[in-house]
Amino acid sequence: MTGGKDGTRASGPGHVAQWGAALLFFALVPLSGRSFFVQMANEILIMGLFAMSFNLLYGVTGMLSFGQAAFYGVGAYTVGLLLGKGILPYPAALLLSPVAGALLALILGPLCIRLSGVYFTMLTLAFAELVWGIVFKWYGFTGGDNGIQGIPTPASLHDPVRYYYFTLAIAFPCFAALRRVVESPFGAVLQSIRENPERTGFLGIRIRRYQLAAMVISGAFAGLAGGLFAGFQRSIHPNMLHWTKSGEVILMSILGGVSSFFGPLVGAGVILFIEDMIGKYTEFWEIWIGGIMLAIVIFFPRGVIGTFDGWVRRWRGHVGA
Amino acid sequence: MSAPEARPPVLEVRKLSKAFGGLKVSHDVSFSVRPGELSAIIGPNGAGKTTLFNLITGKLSPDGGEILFKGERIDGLPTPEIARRGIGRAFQVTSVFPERTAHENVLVAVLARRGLTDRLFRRAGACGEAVEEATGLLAMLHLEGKADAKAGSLPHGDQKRLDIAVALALNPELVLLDEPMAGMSPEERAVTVDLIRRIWKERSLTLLFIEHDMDVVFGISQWIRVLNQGMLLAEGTPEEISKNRLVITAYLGEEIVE
Repeated sequence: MTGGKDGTRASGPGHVAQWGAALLFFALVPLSGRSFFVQMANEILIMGLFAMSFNLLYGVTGMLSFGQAAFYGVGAYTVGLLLGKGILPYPAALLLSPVAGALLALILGPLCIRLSGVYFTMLTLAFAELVWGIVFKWYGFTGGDNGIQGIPTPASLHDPVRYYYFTLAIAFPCFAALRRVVESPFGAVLQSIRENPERTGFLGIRIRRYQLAAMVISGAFAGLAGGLFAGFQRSIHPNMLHWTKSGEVILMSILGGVSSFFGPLVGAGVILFIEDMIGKYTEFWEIWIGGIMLAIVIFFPRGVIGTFDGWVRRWRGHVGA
Repeated sequence: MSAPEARPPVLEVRKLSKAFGGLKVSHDVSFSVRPGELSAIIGPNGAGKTTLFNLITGKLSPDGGEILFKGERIDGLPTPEIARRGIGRAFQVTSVFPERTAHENVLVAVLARRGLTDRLFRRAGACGEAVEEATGLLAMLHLEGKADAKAGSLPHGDQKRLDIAVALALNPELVLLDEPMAGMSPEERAVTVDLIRRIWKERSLTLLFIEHDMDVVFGISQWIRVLNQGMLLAEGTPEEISKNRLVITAYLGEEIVE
């Protein structure tokens, strides 16, 4: 990892290699010929994008949002409703899913950033539950707890491999865009806010504006991830907005490492894989996830990528000395 | 101190008051700071020195009185607004961005001043002029060799100077340094004193610092203000202060008088 702990070091040759390797890996998955792997990789890309949107708030800006599922779900319902009611075709509806996520963040953001720390977290949770409640109860509009089934995406995207490449073609540019945001002057301010909000104010920066902007950008990418998922499963459910979904991306990010850029993607991969593998043998897979989380917190205190990065550095240090 | 007198004061504090509960931490404090002045604020612990800086920079809002910067009221304004108007501050307990490199610490301040922080799609490290300016500031504070080190991992003295570099990155007209030499070794102190004096001169700053080291205070200050129990006890040239009866009893003690 040339990404450094903050995931903000300038691009170098190692950086390009890392991105190339990741892209190559995902591009080659369909060659395995197993649709199971393709489906899983597709879900990893979508959840990875969702988790990265969360990490822009948490790992980068230091805002622990427990309501990220609201933006994800609203993106999914944007696609589900627009397509289901035959208002827009899939590509146009998908384009609107990040807009919907951003708009929701623009509404909820100012209410949440009034407070900081754990109070901010509680507000995000409360407002996200409110949105979930609306989606869950409003049968006439959202279908309530029936969700929306059989979302009519174009037939050309029904083929799993084709939809997989469709996801890949959207997800990777999004990863790159997020990376660029983190490395930008704007991103430098976000990281300053994480490190020392008070000092950031003394630089003449109005912190809340930047926190709101981070929420809007994060909401947009979460919404897009939701829109991609709606096209992937062609059925959506209010569970996508539930707090457990918000908890899932927190888990993924922490497990992968919140201070490395690809950490959340790696975390998404690990959790989805374990869920699926263990889910085959026991319905109590959550216990296993809990146990594995415990082991990771003990043995990988900075997340999988963060700890691995530390090992590499120490090893290089020894070689150098 | 003849020429600066003609110009209006950079900072004017009028009957400034602040109380925490029943404790008056700032009590009817009034003074003016002339442009280009290098002056010290001294006083025993709890005299209200840091509180005064907190009031000037908007971290606290006063209960009464006025603060004018270049003739305009700034009391009650939020901290970012005051910083933008040209007041930079370094802190008693060093205040850096610990997980960011020394260079990133200064760069973000330079970018903020240049109004570039709304840029989303350009790498901060590719903003050439800002990057060079940050590099220059680090060199100015003798930190050129530490550019890529995490700020939090730097020795205390380096962090202190980095804190000053971040404050200077805002191109402030008025700089407030809260115990810039605290916790430094005697050698570091000597270097830092020279540094502060040189920067003050080169950048024609108005510089106000809080310090407990009386050798430093009497060595470089043009003007000294003494706070005691939230009140301005005295102000004057170093010679005047060293002979002031009130100051000697309240703070300096007898031994300083030859």
